[in-house]
Amino acid sequence: MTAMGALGRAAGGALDHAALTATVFKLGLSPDAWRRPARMEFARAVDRIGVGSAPLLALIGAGLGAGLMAQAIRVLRGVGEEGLVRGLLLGLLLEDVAPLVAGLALLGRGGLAIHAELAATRRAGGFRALDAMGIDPLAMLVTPRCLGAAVSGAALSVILAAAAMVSGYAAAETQGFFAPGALLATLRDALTALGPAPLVLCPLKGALYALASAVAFSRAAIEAEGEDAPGAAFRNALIGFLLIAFLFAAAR
Amino acid sequence: MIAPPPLVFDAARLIGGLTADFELPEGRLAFAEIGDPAAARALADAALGLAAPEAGAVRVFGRDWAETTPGEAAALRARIGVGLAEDGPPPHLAALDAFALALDWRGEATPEARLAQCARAARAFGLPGAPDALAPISALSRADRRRLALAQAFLGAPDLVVIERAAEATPPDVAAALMNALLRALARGAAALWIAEPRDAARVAAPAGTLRLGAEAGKLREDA
Repeated sequence: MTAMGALGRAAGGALDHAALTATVFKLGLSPDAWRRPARMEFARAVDRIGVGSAPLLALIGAGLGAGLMAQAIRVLRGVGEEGLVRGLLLGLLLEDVAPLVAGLALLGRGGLAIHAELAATRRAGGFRALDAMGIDPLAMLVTPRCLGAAVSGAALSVILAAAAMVSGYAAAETQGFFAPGALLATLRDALTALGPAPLVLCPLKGALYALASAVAFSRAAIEAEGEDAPGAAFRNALIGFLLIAFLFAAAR
Repeated sequence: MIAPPPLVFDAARLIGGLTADFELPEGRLAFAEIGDPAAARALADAALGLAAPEAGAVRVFGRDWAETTPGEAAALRARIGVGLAEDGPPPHLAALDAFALALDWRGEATPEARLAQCARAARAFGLPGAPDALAPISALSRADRRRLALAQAFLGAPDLVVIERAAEATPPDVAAALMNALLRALARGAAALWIAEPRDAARVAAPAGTLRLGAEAGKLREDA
């Protein structure tokens, strides 16, 4: 394939991706699309993607928080800037690390689950069967999954961040960095100093990362044939992640 | 005011080259003998507005599929009961939810009414009762899925029924159950298009007035 051909194909893919995302938002905002089967699919997506991943994300958060805190204390103590630990770590954790790690975890777990179900539906002729019944497959199957993934992404980012904060506090406490038994007061002070932005950005970015991967895997399952479909979805989702990260960085 | 016929193929050239030209009034059954599965699918797709004909027009309840918006098309399809041979509901759905899918999409029946309606429809096709509410539809045998696909076509008293090769390779009691269900639907004024292989035609005792359609020389028309 020529470079121009590859560029054209990538641009076409990006447009398709954007169009599907727009359709998901449009259908998600339409009360008419939220009929019983769609609501059931949404609940199923939240259960499988969100609830099913919560223990794993809490575990990742706990490991991440303790590790980051230990590193930060060691490095910042070395340069005499211990006072930066709380603000730097919390800001990084809430605005960037937690949503990104949750998004990456969902990329595998949620994305592949979405791909498997939708691809099985396509192979069984489910899209034609739904169309024949007057049911929009995008409204019944794709939108609930994408929005279920987004809700899960938001919730899991917060869970991961919360687990990281608790374990980070515990790690700092063992090094005598924080006063013992002052977890809530320490977090409250740190969060107050940061302002409301990280508290909004953490679930928002987590939702957008999860939505990007859900749309990529849904599109791959609906359109693509062959074994490389999940690979292409991974690639497209990661491009989406980069775009989201750059957009937020530029906006800040 | 006279209601328009539920289904009209107006010199519609379908994908694959078959041209269909017939009118199906209320209370009538059209039995289309088509050996080629692709042609059978093209005919069903055209009747359901899923694929536009290359030429001509297909009208349901007086509306040309080509002139409907997606919302209008969905509303028209809500009046059509469909039994497909190969294409089934999403396999992860519980059998009951897959069976009641069209009902659930169209309205919010109480759980009791929904279950009773599903049980009645399933029993009419030789099943013991409403499908399992927990096990996925993919766990059912192929034969039971075929029975459910046919029973599903009559759920909610549709005004038009389209059966696409769904009675093939089924036990004799299924063909009899299908004919009984069709007769009841025709008696209340519905119309039905039954697409089947020619070899199935022999075992179907179609009622008087059935429009028998045969595909010859690329044209689907009433048999002489």
